[in-house]
Amino acid sequence: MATPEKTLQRLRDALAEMAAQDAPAVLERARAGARARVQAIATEAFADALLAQLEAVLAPAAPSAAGAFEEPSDAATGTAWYVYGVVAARTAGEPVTGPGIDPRSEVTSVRYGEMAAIVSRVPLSEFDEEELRAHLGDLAWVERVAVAHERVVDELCARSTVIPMRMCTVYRTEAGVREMLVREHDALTRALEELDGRVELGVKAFAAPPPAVAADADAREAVSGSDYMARRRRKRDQAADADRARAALAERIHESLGLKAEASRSNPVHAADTARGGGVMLLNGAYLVPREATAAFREHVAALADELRADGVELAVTGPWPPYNFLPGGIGVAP
Amino acid sequence: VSAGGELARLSGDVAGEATLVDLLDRLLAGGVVVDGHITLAAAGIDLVRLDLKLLLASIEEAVAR
Repeated sequence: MATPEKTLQRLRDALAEMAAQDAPAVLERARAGARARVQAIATEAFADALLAQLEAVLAPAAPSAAGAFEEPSDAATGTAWYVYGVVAARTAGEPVTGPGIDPRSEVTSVRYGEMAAIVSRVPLSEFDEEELRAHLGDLAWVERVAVAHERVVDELCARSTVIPMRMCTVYRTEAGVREMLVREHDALTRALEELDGRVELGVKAFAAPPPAVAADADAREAVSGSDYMARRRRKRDQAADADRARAALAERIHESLGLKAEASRSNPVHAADTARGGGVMLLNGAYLVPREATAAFREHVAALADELRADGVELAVTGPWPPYNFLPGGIGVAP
Repeated sequence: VSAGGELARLSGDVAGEATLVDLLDRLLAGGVVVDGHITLAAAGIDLVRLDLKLLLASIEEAVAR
């Protein structure tokens, strides 16, 4: 006659076997259930509750059954998933031709419903938490990753609307990327609709560096103490006037460009003119325009530049960029 | 490092007059910040931004010099 222990053991064995057999079917049902976001959350909560129940009943007899529910890990391959951006799945059919961050791994997509995250594998030896933190202090590394990121996003942007991710968004697993798509589904859908067919153009305005000759001429003159103080005051006032004039000019340029855009944004100017040695950056603006209006916007900038040349102001246009500066709120965590 | 120069390695129109600072401006201040099973957790993202802002500042300083 079977002891209660033996009966329990047989029950455990049977349950473990059933769990193993059912696991693929359960996963399939979970996948189907995940189509609707709410359903996915409910399924997950239910699975957790069920799992807790199973563990309570079967522990420690059937660890393999519990294992079947765990998220598959990519750790064994030593890689993680770099996410460049999200596009509408219908536009993701054509593969990205250029190399990704890691030239050994092709750029591919992870899909959920109407969404596709554009991703590629990157080595954890570079992108795991600690390693990533260390690399972020290495300018050559940051430049390489930034350029590779932008090259992929540009290719997507040239083709259709793309919601770009912050640089170095790296998920440990493909399932993690999919979970993000599920969680952000509604916000991403809205963003893709709002930004459909729009691109961002950047316009920077530079003023010629202030002439240093006058100061030298002043310094050569011998002056009395009170003259010297008056001159210093005058110079300080002149500098303040020049600052105010520059701010007013920047505002005028930004307003004029804003009239030709659907949305506009004035970002902090760079401390130095990194392209033209010495000029003062007056304006670092971003403008959202329909893709087909790009040429017209550039013409408007050129016309404005002609007007401003006499004042010693130059304009530089960059883009079209993906709409980095115009992502609607509500996607992901607060930026 | 082409911090001061133009990003010749970027393809297409963006290359135009864009500098590395223009690029990092967008990649680090713009773009979607998400949560989940990422290698640097949400709390770490701020640190990343901090690191990169410092980095940006140092590029600008280096170029200004």
